[in-house]
Amino acid sequence: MRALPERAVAGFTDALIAERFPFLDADQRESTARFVVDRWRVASQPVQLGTGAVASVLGATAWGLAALGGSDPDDAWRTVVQRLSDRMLPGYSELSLFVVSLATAYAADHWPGAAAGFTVAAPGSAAR
Amino acid sequence: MIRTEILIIGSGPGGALTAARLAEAGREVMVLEEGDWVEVGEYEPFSLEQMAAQYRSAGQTVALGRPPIIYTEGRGAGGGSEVNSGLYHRPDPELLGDWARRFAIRDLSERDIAEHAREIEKTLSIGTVPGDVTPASSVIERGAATLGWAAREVPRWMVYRDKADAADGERQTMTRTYLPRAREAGASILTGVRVDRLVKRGRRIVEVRATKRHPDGYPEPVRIRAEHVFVCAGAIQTPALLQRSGVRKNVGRTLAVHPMVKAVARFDDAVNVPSDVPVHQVKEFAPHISIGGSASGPGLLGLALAPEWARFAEVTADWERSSLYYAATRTEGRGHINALPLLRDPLVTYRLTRADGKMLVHAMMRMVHLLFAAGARQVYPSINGAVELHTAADLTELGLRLKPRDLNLMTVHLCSGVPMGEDRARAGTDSFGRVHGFDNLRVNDSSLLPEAPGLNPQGTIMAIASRNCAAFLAGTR
Repeated sequence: MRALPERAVAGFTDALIAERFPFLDADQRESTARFVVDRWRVASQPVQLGTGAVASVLGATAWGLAALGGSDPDDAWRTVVQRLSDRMLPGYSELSLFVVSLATAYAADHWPGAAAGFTVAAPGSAAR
Repeated sequence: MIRTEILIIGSGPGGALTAARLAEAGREVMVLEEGDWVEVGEYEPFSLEQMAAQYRSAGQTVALGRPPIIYTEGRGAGGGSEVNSGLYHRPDPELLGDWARRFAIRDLSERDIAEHAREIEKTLSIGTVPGDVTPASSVIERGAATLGWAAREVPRWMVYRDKADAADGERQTMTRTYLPRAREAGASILTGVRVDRLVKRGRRIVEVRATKRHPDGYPEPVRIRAEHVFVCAGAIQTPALLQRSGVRKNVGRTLAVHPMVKAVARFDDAVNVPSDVPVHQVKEFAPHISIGGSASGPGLLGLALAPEWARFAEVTADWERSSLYYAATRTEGRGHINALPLLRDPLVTYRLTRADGKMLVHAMMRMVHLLFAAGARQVYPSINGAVELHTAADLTELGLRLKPRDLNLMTVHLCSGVPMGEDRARAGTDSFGRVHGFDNLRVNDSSLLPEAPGLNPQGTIMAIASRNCAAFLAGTR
């Protein structure tokens, strides 16, 4: 059983990768997310505590949304990520940069051509 | 309880050299290393796998500040020497003289250091590339020549067979040089042992408490008594350990780094060699700015473009024609290292001054200018909200709106966690690394440098460590 911050980081990572890396297929997204969470687990403790705390707050929000709206937890995570994606909130920016940087390093290393030919919409909006 | 005459904590360039010097002088030496012993070549150099195995926290370490600075520390036998670029600079005589005056450091002239530097250069096989340098390195040489800037090939600790090209050398890391020498001279080297704290009584360290990590995860407490303790765990971990042990005066208050800005450049021809780094550096603006090339595997190219990778996906799709460059700067600002209760890792902060911010923007501009002068078709500065530059004219526009907070900063050069000097108001140790207020506790690594030197620091760190060993053996300290 994973601890709360780790589950929250994992939920956030899945949702953020789905939003920012739609050009990856499901298997690629899954292994990228696994890489990010593995690296979070061994990150220096100040990094782990800071990002874990922010993810836990977001996780509580997502689970609250899921409970109140009767929606799927994954959908609730996606809603949270979409709502926050173009906001520069303290803590959130650092958490999302942490996840996106690691995910980019991994995905670009394993599938350097994955994003080629993909048209990107304005920063902050969902890519098509 | 384990007993030894000399205990060395950490096996990076400072610790490995200290172990070899003291063991070869007939002293009883034990080295404790937190990480594992990894043979050179076991991991692809500069790969994500190597980062996981040989970097502290798999490279997920950051100095908080505005902007934050990502830093990396080697972890494992040989420390940073196992994972860095291997570029060597002999200690700069002018800089040494300046440090001696400004920080009241005794016996730090070129004469005091030269003999030590020569021995290190011989042991590490310092030399230039006999064959061809990589195309990414030629880019720097070509751009500098076009602009009339001073640039040169920086020698490395590398053994080249016959007329080998740059990428075919064998790195002369600590696990290939000083650590085997230390072992041959009788030193014992224990890996997988993390030192938790030093126990002090009066002016002496009377016990070292550590934890041995077994393969099954079992943490075995280890207690060691030594007549002399050398802490050589690097500019972050050395002050963190001293603080955890209640040694705090001028410890961890003056961290100095070389923050780097980076940019990806794309060319018409293939330039990328993922397993090697360029050996040329622009020295026109030294010591304030130094421009060189970084490891440039597709993952690192993508990382430099994050979070905008998808907008510039052609860079990694066509990674052979792209390479990553850096401009490293010296700063007025300093960082703090704070060992916090119950936490294994310290909290690190770094405060850049307004002048530092301007210098970093200036460094980015210089680097982009160099890359276009070398024939780059596109340049992508690593900034928040990344942009694609097509001409040097685009640079002017970028310069007008680029703010220090937009820069993605990182560093691999960490210095000055426990600076040396006779001024007890500012220095954590005396001129030879003995911690002020202690008889048997010494620091002998990058922590001692009073500033970041403005060049790859390993040569300076090792030469000073060697000088300190000589002083210790001579009984003067």
